[in-house]
Amino acid sequence: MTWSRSLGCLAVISVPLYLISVYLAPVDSMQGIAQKILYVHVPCAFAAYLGFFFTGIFGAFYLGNNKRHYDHMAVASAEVGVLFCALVIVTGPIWAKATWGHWWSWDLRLTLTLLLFLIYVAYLLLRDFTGNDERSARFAAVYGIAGLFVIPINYFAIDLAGGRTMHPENLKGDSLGSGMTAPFFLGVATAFIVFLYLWGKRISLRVLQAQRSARGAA
Amino acid sequence: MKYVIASYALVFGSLFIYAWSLWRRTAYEKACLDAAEGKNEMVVDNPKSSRL
Repeated sequence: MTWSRSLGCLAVISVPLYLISVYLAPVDSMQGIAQKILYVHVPCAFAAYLGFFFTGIFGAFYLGNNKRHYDHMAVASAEVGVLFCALVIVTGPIWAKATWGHWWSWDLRLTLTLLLFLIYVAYLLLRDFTGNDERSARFAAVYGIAGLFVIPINYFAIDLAGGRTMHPENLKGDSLGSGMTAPFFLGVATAFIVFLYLWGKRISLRVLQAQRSARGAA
Repeated sequence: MKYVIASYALVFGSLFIYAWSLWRRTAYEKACLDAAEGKNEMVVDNPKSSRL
């Protein structure tokens, strides 16, 4: 059984388990049922971070080794990361509307998440518009590495603002109430499994596309 | 409750549509490569082919 198929099977098992655990999770006394949105919002954010982290890391490997496969891995992870980041940007305002009463606030964390999203959308546009030659791949790799610096700033935005933000604080040891740990960690595990599955599929597709264009050029 | 259902439907719907597009595009690229190798010459030109 291939890695892709194994991850697909794992996703088929973990998604229903995760959804059941979210359904069975206790309702938060302060936020009500809207708090359950956070079981999907936060895991999507972690998957987006992972995608952008891989973009920088595999971009660096590509610069170091000049092996085309690392470039495929970097671009594929940026694309899947952008998808997860878009889901973060959509589910966050839905939670905010239910909890704060309005969709958006130009809060530091929210603004930085939007910036992170736009940085990697620009990365994908750069790759699409500049063709697939070595020079643009190397330039995009440098850009992807530079984008890495926004990830910790985004994650620690609330601490950097001294807690003066509307966005809830990052999770700490005792943040989750009883019965909330299982859906949260199952959510993170499921998001990572789905991320890895989609990433693998996107890499395979890029390899096939490269093979076809090489045949066309030959 | 509607916000919760909307969030989960949006996330899983989007991920499924993206996965579906990857499966379709992968099948298309494989079919094109097969056609280029002469293994499956009808695929590229036949829009009714199930592999497209």
